[in-house]
Amino acid sequence: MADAGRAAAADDIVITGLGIVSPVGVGAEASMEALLRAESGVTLLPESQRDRSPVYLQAPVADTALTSITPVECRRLDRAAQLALQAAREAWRDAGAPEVDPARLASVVSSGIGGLLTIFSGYEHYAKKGYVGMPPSVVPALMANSSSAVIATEYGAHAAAVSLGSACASGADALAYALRLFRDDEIDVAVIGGTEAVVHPITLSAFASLRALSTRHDDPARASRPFDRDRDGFVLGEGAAILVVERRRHAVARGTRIWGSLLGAGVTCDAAHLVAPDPSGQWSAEAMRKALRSADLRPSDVEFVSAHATSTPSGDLAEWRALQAAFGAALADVSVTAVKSAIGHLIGAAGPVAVAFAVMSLYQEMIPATLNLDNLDPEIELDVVRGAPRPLVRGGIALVNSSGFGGHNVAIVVGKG
Amino acid sequence: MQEILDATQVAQLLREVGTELQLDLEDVAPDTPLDELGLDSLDRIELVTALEDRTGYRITDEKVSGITTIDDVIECILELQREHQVRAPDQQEVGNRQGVSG
Repeated sequence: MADAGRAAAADDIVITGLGIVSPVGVGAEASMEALLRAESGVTLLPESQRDRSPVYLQAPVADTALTSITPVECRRLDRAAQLALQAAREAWRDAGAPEVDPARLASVVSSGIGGLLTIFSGYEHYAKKGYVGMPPSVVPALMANSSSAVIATEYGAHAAAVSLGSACASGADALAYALRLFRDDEIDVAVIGGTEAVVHPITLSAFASLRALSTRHDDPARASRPFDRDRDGFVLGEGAAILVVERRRHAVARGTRIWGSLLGAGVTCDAAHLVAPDPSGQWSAEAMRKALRSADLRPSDVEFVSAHATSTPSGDLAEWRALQAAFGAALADVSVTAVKSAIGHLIGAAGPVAVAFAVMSLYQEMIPATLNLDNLDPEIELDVVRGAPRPLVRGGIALVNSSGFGGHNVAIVVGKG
Repeated sequence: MQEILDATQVAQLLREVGTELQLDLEDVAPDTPLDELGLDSLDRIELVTALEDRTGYRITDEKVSGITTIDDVIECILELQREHQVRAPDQQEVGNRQGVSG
């Protein structure tokens, strides 16, 4: 195999199924095509929903996206779990519905926040009618673990059903956790991912109050601009990404397509501040080093980084410093892309969406461009892919970086084939 | 307080609520156990909650646990109507709860 620093092994953990429901498309391949065409999923909230929020930019999933969700699921599940289930069904089908011992199948699907829209609707009901008619589905739908539980139930995953909570790193943490389950030989197949559906005037007001959101209402498609000099915050998006992951020998035995490999994961915490990133990025850098060590790779093996890059002034700068610390001189040869420029920030789904896109980028040998990068921040020196997608030139290793409020840092390393 | 319904009207209400909840209760024999209709515990609670919402009666946990067939659901509503007919309006649980929540 031509891949830098790595040979395929039967014990490799490989990705055989992908499912994405995103602001730029329904379906993994449709979303990737839209990304390569440089489409933006950022719009304005309908005027009737702007309410009193000072920010009304959003990156929504199309109303027509939830094709597999039944009326009962629609009533019983929060939108976050509906998006997750839709993506899981795509991923499971894409993987060819693998036969697996249910005791060796895990569902690890996170949400950064949980069933927030259900909490809001439960409150609205209570304000109007009190207890009478309070839907019994409110509690099961608002639980942050409902997506992993629903997906475990769908496929009979008895090994584990876990939703990890680390805000915007929750989805990447799901991948890191599942990789440990494989390495501890607890499982043969896992359904892994993240989901989020919290776009609402209350949520937008709350994030706006933290001064975290872009206010570029006059030009929505250009509002999310990671690493750009004139970035002014992130755009709140929604969506889900699910990966079906298994041992290479298991995938090869059943002759299914292998999208790529899940090679390593590294996790740290800044332990510095509840919402602000450590400006030095030192612990984010350590997560990247741990991920590379866990993959038995060096920084120079990495061809591109899919950055967390939410487009906030402080976050992007801290990430640049983290990349500098983790990669050193090797950073000069690393391409960087930031998918949030097109899809906004999917919170708990952000990590798995970026990993799914990175795996497809390796498979198609094409790195999507970062939108809206007109003037690279003069404090940042990165080779950001812009203008047009960039072909892969030297093999196939990507590092996906993720971080979340709370100081959570997660890096995931994926490989081609 | 709502109009007093007879058994046929309660059965009709039950079918309407079933339709809202995507539970197919049409053409079901009234003595059919709910288990056999494929209604799980959450389905039953959703059905009861929707009936509470439509009738204004509070169906207590004790009454819920006694419901095993469609007939039991209907009888439960009829019984609540009878109980409320002989009670003063200010003793009605639902009325009190609505008062509290404003």
